[in-house]
Amino acid sequence: MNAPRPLTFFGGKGGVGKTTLAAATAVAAARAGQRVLLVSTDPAHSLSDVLGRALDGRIQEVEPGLSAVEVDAEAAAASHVDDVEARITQSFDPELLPAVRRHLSLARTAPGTLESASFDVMARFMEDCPARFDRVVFDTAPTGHTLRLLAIPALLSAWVEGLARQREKVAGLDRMYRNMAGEDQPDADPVMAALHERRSRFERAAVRLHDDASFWLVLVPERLPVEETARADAALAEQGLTIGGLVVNRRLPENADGTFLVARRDQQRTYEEEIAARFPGRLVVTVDQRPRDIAGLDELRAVASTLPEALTGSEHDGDGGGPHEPAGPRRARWRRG
Amino acid sequence: MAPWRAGVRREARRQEDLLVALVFCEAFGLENPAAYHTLELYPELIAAYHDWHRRQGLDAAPQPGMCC
Repeated sequence: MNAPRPLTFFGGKGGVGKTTLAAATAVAAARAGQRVLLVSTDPAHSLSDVLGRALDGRIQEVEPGLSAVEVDAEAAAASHVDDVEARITQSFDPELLPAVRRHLSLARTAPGTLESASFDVMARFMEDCPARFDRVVFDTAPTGHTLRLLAIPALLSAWVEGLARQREKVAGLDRMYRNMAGEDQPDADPVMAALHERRSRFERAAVRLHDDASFWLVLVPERLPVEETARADAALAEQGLTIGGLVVNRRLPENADGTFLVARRDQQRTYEEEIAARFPGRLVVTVDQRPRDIAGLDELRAVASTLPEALTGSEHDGDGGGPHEPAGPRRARWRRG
Repeated sequence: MAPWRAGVRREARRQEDLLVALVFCEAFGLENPAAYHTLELYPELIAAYHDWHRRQGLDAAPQPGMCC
């Protein structure tokens, strides 16, 4: 059995159906008896619309076994800055506080702040698995944003590590000086403690992304999404992350008729062949387009029944679509689930 | 104070200045990739930053609003 990895990410270009597929996967996993958390990290959230229920930054139970949340990066950043501001207020010269507050208000809107905040929130949800949830499914923002987000732990742990080394040097010299001067040694160093905590949080996130996560690239059979998927596939592989497979969404079914739709379908088939040729080692799943929009849990369940066990973790009868085995030496690259 | 002891103190301060410069590097126009995450060090280091710019002969912080 191809047990899915506990952390599942859906990525891809805007508008290809990441949210719907993430939600369908989560619904199926929950109905198979897992405790599932479905997380939207796209700042332009559409999970509420897909599930037909108002979500926010707090985890809510949608149905038994299925909870969902839309990451509120602005609120997370604001509470982080508030926290820092409160600690400065306790310890710093009150006359200088207004200036410090002005500076911190810039930090709230600085470039990168929301990205860092949403990474922090994401890392926290990853830590809820396996204690609170068996499976966490992430509906991510369009590719570029997500790739930067995933690079954060590797990029910043080196930076934090450098700061920690520097702080150790300062503390060592300070100890030496105090010894010589016969002064008392200070209590535990809060800067060092904060740096260590930061570093271990980055390390834990990097390990989870590496060992427990799989990435599914969603695309529609058209030129631009195919190209973007090729770039994302290469970038994820370069970061050493595991790609679960590709989901080719909104494929026109065989019964789509009319000259316009037939022409479109023929072109889609050409792209499907191209996809099989260009991603020889990947599992490719196709999902047929439906005559109407998909919304609500029952329709999501219908979509989920066409998804492979590798994604949902449950067996199903498969009523169309289903896994399509690409030509090539290797089919799927499943490691431990 | 013995000169070697003063030397150790000077070196400690020099190393702390470097740490402060790394955490507050936006003040020098350099991008700090971990700015959001190192914000939590401000409460502990902002006083050291303030001392630093005063020692450099700057009455106000080079970046307006950092501390004064």
